[in-house]
Order: sequence, then C-alpha cells, then structure tokens
Amino acid sequence: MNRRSEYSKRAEMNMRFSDFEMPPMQDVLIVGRRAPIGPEAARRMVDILSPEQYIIEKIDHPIIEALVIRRTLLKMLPKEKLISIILEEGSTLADEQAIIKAQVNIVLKVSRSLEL
Amino acid sequence: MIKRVRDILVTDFHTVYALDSVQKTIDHAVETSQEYFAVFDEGVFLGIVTYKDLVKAHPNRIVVDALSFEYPSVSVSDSIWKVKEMFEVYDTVVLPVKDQEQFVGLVDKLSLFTAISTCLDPLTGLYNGSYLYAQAEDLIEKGQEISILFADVNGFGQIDKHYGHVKGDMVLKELAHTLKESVGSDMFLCRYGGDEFAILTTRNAERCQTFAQELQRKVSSMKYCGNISLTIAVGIAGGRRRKAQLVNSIAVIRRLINLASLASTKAKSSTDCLHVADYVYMEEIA
Repeated sequence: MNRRSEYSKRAEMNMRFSDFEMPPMQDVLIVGRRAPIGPEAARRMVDILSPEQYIIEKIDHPIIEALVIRRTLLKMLPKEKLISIILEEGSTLADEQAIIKAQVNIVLKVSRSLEL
Repeated sequence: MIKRVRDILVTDFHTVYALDSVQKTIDHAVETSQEYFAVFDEGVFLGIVTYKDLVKAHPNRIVVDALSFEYPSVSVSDSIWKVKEMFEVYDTVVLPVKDQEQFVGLVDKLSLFTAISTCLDPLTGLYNGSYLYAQAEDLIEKGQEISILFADVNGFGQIDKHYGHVKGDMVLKELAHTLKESVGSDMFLCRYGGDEFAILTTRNAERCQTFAQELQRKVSSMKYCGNISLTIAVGIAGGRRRKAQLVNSIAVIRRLINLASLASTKAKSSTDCLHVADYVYMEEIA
C-alpha cells in the first residue's frame, strides 16, 4: 500500500488597527540615564511630531537623566514644583534603563464668592 | 620649544554624525582603534564622545545622547601646563580646542604627555628649565611679580671625584626629592643643569630669603646615599613691576635667572651661603 505523506505550510495573519496616539508620549516622559532613547533623541522626536508642545528638562538625578513635559501643564503649575513631584513619584518606579510615560491630570479648582 | 596648545593641536581627528547610533560608533571605534570621535551635526561641532562614554550608553541611543558635556574647552594659546592640570581634574583623554570661540581641533592626553616628557629631567624626574620659562611667562602675563631662587650644591665636584659619578648622580636624585618635598604649592621647581636647581615663585625677596634658609637647614640636616652631607648656596633675584603689560617676558625671565645664578655664585663665598640680588624693574628689561 502506497503511503503518501502530507505536508502543508500555512500562514495566518491577524491585523489590529488603532489610532496612532498623537503625540505618543502623553503628558510626561521620564528618561532614565541608560535608557535606549536619550534626551536629545526625545527632543528631536517631539520637535518633529509635536512642534513647540513639549519642553525637555535635563535633571541632576542619579537615575533620571531628563523629563519631557507637555507645555500646557506648566501653565497650571510652576515648573520646579511639577518636576519635584514627578521625580518624587517617578523615581520609585523608574530605573536607569527605563523610559516611562506618565499621564498627568491637573484639575484646578476655583471657588469665588461674589458680593451681590 | 613646545609650550602652547597650538603646538600639539590635533586636526586630523575622526568624526561621527550626531544621529549615528552608539552601537555603530562602537563598531567604528573597534574597527579603527579610535579612542574618541568629534561629533558634528550639519557642520556644527557638538562635542567629543570617547570610547568610555560609548560603552556606558545604551547601544540604541544616538551618539549625541552619549556625549559628556561636563568637559570644558581649552584655548589654542593656553599653556600645556594648564591643560595638564585640566586633564588631572577631568577624567577624559581628550579636550576640545577653541580659538576665539571657534572650534579648531582637539588636544589629547597622549600628545600632551609626549610634549611634557621632553621637559623632564631623566635623572631626577624633575622638570627642566623650559618648564620654568613657561610657568614664569604665564605668571608675568597674569600681571604677577616673580622671584627666582637658584640653589647650587657646595663642592659637588669633590663629591663626584671622591665617590664617583654614579654615586654623585644618586646624591642629586635624593637631593631633588628633598627639594620637591620642600617647595610650596605656589612654587615651581626644576633641575636647571648639573647640580643647579631653580625655583620660581611669586613670593617677594624677603619671603624667599626665609624659605631659602629653611631649605638650607633641611638639606644640611640630612645624609645622602647613606653618609654624605651636603650644603647648598642659594641666590635670589626678584622682579618688580609698575605696568600690567610687558613687551618681552622672555627677556625678563632670562635676566632674572642670570641674576639668581650669579647671586648663587656670590653666596658660595658668604658665611650663610645666601645672596639676594638687588631687585629689578621688569619694564626696564622688557
């Protein structure tokens, strides 16, 4: 009896479409000292993708080399205050190799009373 | 005589593009055995990246993100001694060189130390006279007054004759060590020639005299090569100035060295082996 061996090779393709997150780095990007992307690369990336919307701050910190911060945040909080909060929280999560994106929501509550 | 950065300026250095990857540049460094590269972006010099900087950075980074910006630049007119001090402070093998804020090249540690080795006296390990000239010139350019002490071993010829030249050399080596330990941080010591040592300082003649007496006491209190006693005659010459700028500082230095040398000869016949030459106004020489 003839026994024919059967062999087949198939490829399956799955596709997933989603919106490109624009800009891709959200509100703040924390760049570690030995991260695969350095501050200059980050600066060039944001300048091309979202011109004039982010600032790069080089940081004197043992783990974190720089922060990329959305400019609009700085209209709501002083830069030094914002940086110190990000470093305080971010340094517990980040290591030298990390690039961490952070979503930062600032809600400004204003309450006024008017004399009628 | 090599004395300024321009004399050892490196202009045929290897360059890399700012957006090259760190990995590509490491490969290039290994291939070409280069220890450093100048980093350019569209013709603009951004800095220097060393092999050490590269291996410390993530290989995915662009070269400009591996640069060390903490190193200052030096000027073409800086003395090689100033640059030596900078290499001692900063942990790097190369520094950028600028001429009127324009990047013109690099100065590397190897070229610098090769240049400096020509100013070293092989017997004692002290610098030779060219070091003294360079330092004196720098002090004069800074508007300082300078003094020179010339120390000469009394009867050194007799030591050579009595113990032989090999032992004589050993005596000089030990004496050089004593002098090196004795000079202050504001003094520059060199072996001027034979058994003559010169010290440059900004101290005035009176303070030089006090220092010379201490030095004489120290030298005579010690035994060299086990049992040889020495005394030194010291001549002092000091220059004063009325103006900040001098036309010919080399002429001033030559004159002061000559006066100090003659003073040390006179010192040999005096009871305390010390002679201070009359001070001179530098402007009258330059």
